[in-house]
Amino acid sequence: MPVQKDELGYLALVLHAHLPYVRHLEEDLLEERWLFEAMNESYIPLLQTFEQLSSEGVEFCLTFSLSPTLLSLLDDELILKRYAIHLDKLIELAGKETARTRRDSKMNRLAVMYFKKLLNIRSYMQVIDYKLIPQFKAFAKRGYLELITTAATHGYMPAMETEEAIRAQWEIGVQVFEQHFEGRPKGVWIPECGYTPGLDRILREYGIGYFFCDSHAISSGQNQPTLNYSPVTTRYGIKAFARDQEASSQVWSSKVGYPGDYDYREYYRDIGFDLPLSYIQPYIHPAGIRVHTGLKYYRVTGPTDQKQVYDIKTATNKAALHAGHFLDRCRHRIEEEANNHRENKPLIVAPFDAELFGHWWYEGPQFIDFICRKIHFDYLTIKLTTPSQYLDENSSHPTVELPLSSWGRNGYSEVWINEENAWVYRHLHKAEERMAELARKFHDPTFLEKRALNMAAKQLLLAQSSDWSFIMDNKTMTDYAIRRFKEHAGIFHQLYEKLMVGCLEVEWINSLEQNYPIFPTLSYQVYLPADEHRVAVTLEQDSPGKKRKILMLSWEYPPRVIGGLSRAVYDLSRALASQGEEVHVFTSHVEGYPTFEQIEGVYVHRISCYRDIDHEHFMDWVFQFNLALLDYYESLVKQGFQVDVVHAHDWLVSLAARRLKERYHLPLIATIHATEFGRNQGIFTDLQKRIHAEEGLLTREAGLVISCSHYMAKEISQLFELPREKVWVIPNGVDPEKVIQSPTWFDRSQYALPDEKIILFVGRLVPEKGAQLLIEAFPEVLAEHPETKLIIAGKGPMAETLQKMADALDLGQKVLFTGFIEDQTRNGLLQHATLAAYPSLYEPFGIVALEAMAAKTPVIVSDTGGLGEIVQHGVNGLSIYSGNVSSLRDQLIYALNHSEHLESMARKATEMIAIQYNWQDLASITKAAYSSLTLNLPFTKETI
Amino acid sequence: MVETKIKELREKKYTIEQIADELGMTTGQVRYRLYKKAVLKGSNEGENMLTISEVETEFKTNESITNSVNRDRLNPSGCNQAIFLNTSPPPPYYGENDLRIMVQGPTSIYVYWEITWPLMKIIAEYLYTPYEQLNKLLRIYDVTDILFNGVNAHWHRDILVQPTKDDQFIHELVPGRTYTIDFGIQYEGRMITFLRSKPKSTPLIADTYQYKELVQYLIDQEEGRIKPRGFENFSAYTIY
Repeated sequence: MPVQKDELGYLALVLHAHLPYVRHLEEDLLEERWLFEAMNESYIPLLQTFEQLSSEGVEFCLTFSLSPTLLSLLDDELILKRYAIHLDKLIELAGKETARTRRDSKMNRLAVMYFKKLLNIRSYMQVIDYKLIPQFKAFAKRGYLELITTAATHGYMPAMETEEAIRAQWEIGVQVFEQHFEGRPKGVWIPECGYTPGLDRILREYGIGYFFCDSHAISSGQNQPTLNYSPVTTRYGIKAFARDQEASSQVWSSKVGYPGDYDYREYYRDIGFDLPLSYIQPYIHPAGIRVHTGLKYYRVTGPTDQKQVYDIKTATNKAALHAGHFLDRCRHRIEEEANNHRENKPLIVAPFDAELFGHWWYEGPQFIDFICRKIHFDYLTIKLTTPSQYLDENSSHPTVELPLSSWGRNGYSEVWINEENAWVYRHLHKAEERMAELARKFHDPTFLEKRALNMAAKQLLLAQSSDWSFIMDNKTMTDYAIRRFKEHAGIFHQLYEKLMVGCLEVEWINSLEQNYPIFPTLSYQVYLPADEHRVAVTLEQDSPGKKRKILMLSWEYPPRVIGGLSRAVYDLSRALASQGEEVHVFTSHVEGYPTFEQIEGVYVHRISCYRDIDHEHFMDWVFQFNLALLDYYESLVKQGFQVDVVHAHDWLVSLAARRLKERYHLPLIATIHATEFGRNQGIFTDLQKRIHAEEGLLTREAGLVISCSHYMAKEISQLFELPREKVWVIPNGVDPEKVIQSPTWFDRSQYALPDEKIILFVGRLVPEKGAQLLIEAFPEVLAEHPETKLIIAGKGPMAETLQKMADALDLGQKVLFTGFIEDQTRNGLLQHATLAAYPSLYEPFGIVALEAMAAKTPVIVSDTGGLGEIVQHGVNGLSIYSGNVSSLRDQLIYALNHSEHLESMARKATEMIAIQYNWQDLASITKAAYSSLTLNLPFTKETI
Repeated sequence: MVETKIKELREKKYTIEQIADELGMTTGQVRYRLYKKAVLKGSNEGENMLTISEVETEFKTNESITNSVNRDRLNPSGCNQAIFLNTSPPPPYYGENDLRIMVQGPTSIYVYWEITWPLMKIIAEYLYTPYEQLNKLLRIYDVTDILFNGVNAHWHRDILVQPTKDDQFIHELVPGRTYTIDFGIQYEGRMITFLRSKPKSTPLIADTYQYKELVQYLIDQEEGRIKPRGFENFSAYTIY
C-alpha cells in the first residue's frame, strides 16, 4: 500500500436508487422495462464496477440508498422471471445486431460490445441467482458500501398532513430495510430531499442518525462560514448533510454537466426507435409501441441531429478526464477550505440518482470507477467517506433550524405541488385522515377486516409515491401516472367505504392481495397515534346498559350567565344527571374556561367560533356558532358517539337543532324560555323578524315544545300555530340550597339602616321587568311607612332612566341602586328583605319569584305571565294588576301593614316550592317528554 | 490477482465454499470468476470480431442453461392471470367540508376546499340568496406567532373566488410567515366566515437566512413519540 499523506478533507458520493412499484400481474407493461433497464444499465454495471475495484484491491466507500419499493421489486419472483425472459430477448436482439452490422466495422464493434456485455450480465445473474440484494449486502459487509434506504414508497414529506402518515412511511421503510439487511439504517435518504420542519423529530423515533438535504437549506450566509463543508445538527439532534451545489451541477447540469459531453453516448438514439418495425417488432412492446432497448450506436456529437457513431475508447478516456477534473475541483476547494480555521475536516457531499450512472449517462459507472481509482492510487488530499464514517470522527456540529426545502426546481415544492398535479392532494389528505380513523376504529378486527385494513394502508402508501406527481409535472408519461394514482387512491377509498359499512368481499380482497404483494409484513396499526392518550372522557358507546344520551343545546351555560336561560338549563341538566341520565351540553366557548369538563355529572362542551361574540356581527356570530355546533357533533360522530334526543333551548340554536334532527334522524324537543314577540310586545325590526322566524322554524320542527307556564304555552301555540297538545308546560324549578345560604361576609348595614325594612327588586333593568313601576309607587308607600327602603339590584339599559326617575321624585337615600349583584349577594339581600317585589310587564316564568319564595321572602308580583301562575294572591304571595301603579302601591302598603299574613304566606310559598317546583320532579317530567318522542307515544302529559 | 489465487486453490481441489472462505468472498463471486472463463473476455475492449457461428454457439449454450435451470426455478407455481380488479377512481367529493393550505414555496401557497351541498343550503337560507349568486371570498391572514381569534391577525388579504373553482394558488406572499385562510361570503360590506383552515408556514428564502445557534435540546426519552417543540406544517391526527 503506497504511503498516503494525511487527507485534508473528504468526498462522500451518495447513490440513491429508486423506482416506483411497477409490478403488475398483466404482462408486457412498459413500466416494468424501467426496472429491467435500470438493472441492466445501472445497478448491475455498478455492482460489477464495485466488484472490479474490490478485486483489484482498490479501497473505496460509497453510500448507497435502495428504496423499499425497489427492494420489493428486486426480491419479487415474478419480476425476476420476467427479467430473465427480457434479458434473453435482449441478448437475442444483440446477437442479431452483430449480424446486421457486420458490414460496418465501427457499428459492428459496438454491436459485439453490447452482445458480450449482455452475455456477461446474464452469466453474472445466473451465478448470483438473479438476486442483486445479497450483492449489495455483501459489499456493505466488506465495508465498501454504506447502505441506507428511504421512505416506504418515496412519498414527498412536505405534502403530507398528518404525523401518522409520515411516520408510517418511515416505519415501513425501516422495516423493509431491516428485513433485507439486518439492523436499522444509520441514516436515510429523504425523498427528493424534501424536508419539512419536524421531520427530524419523526426520524429520531427510529434511531436515524442522519439524512440529506438540499444545499440551499443550509446556504451559508457570510455570517456563518462554519456551516460550509460540514453537516449540521437539527433541533432534534439529527445530522443533516447538505448536497454540495458545485459538485452536483458538475454532474447533473444538463447544460454544463459531464453527461452532455459530445463524446458520450447519446441516450435518445436507440435502435428501438431507429430501426424499422419489421425488424425490431419482437423486441419492443407487443402493441408496437417503440421503447428503448439500450442498444445505442451514436454519441452526443453536438447540438445537431446528425449524430456520429459512438466510440467507446474515446468515451472512456473522456470519463477518465472528467473524473480527474471533478476530483481536481473537489481537491482544490477542500485544500482552500482546510486553510480556514475549522474544527472538522471539510466534506463535500455529492448525492445522485443511481440511475444516472449507466442508464442516463452510459459512462457513469466508468466515471465512478475512475474516481475511486484516482483517489486510491494518486496521492490525493481527499478521501472517500460515508456519513457514518465522517460522524464517527467528527462529532460537534452547529445546531440550526432547517427550513422547508427540496432538491426540486427552485428548491421548494413547486415540482410536486403545481397546476398539473395539485389535484391529487385532496384525495391523499382525506386518505391520510381516513387511514388514521380506520386504525383507531378497528382495534379488534376480524381476519378479513385486518386484511382489508392492511391493504388500505398499502394503497395509501402507493398513492403517496412522489413519482406520480413528478411525472405529471414533467409530462413524460402523464396518463400512466394519473392512472396509477387514481387506481391506488380509488382502491383505498373503496376499502374505506366497505370497512365502514361492513361489506367486505373475500374474493375482492384476495384479488387485491394477488395484485399488490408489496410489504407483506405491514400492519395497518402503524397509523395509530404514537401516544395512545385517550380523550379524558371516553365518549364511546360501551357504557353499561346502553344509557340514553341527551344532547342539550344552549348558547349560554355557566359561567356565561346572562338571562334565566343559563340557570334553567344548568339546573335541569344537573337534575337529569343525578337521576342517572347521560347529559351532554353544547354551549358557547367562554374565555378562560375549559372546552370540555364534567360539572356535577353533566358533560359540558364549550365550542368556539371563528370570532368571539364581541367582535362579530350578531346574527353572523349566531350563524357561525350553529355551524360550529354541527361540526363539533359531526366530529364526535366519527368517534362513534351518538345521542338519542336533542333538546334545544331558545331560537339561538335553532339552525343546529333542526339540522341535527334532519341529518341524524334524531327526535327534537325545543324549550322556549321567552319569545321575541313577548320581549318586544310585537315584531317591528328586521332583526326581530328573523328571530321570530327562527323560533317558528324551531317550534314547528320540534316533535314537542316545552314552555314554562300556561301563559307561555298559549302564547307559543298561538304565535307559531302549533296544536295546543304539542306544547307541554313544565315550569322551571328552584334549588333552595342555592338561595338559602346567606354568606357570612354579607353586611346588611351596607344596604340599609338597621331598622329600615327592605323592599327588594332583583332583575334586569329593562322595561318589561317593571322596576319603573316600583319607583313610581314608592313615594306614597314611603309616606305611610317611612321605615322602608327600596333596593333595586341588577343592571340594564334602563339604569340611568330609573336613577333619574328616583331623583326627580326626590327619593334620595331611600332608593339604592346596587348595580349587578352576585348570587351570594342576592341571597344575602333576600334573607334580609321584608319583601321581594316583581312588577313585571312581561314574564314568561318568573324564576326570581321562586327564588325569593325559596329564601322564605314574601313576594309581591304582577299577575302576568308565569308569575300569575306561581303566585296565588293571598295564599302564597300577593299579586297586582299588571302595569298598575296604584295596585302595586296598595299591595305594598297592605304587606307592610300585615306582617303576620305575610309570614304565613311565605311559609305556604316555601311548602309549595318543595312540591311543585323541585327539580327532581321536573326532571322526571322532562324525561317523560323525551320518552314520549322516542317511544312515539302521542304527546299528552296525561298518558305518562 | 484474485483469479490467479482462485486457480491455484482450485488446483488444490478446494471446493467453491472453501475458496470463498479462504479469500473472503462469496461463493457467487468465486463461481463468477470461474464461470467467466467460459465467456469471451474483454467486454469493454471490443477487439475481436465474432463470427456468426461463434455467436450462435454462445447463444445456444446459455439458452440451454437458462431453459433448464433458471426458468423452472423462477417460475412460481400456478396463478398469474391478470385478475380483473373492478376498481373505481377516488370520488370527486367526500361530503365533508374542508379547507386546506399547502405550501408551494416561500411566497406561494396552494389552497383547496370542498363545500358540501348542505352547507351551501344553510348559507343560502341564512342570507335569503341562492348560493351561486353569492360572492365567495378567501381571506388569507398572517397569523405568525399569534393565537388567532379571528380579529388579531397581523394583516389580511381578500381574494374573490371564481364560481367554479375548488382550489387556488396564491402568490406574492411574504416568506417565513404563518398563514391561515377563511372561506366565506362577502355580504353587505362584511365577510361571513364559514370555514377556516389550519395554519401553515412558508419558509424563508435561502440567502436571507440568519442563523442563530440554538441550544441543543436534551431528548430524554428514547422510546415513543417526541412531542413537537415548535410550529410544524403537519400535525398528529385528531378527531377534533
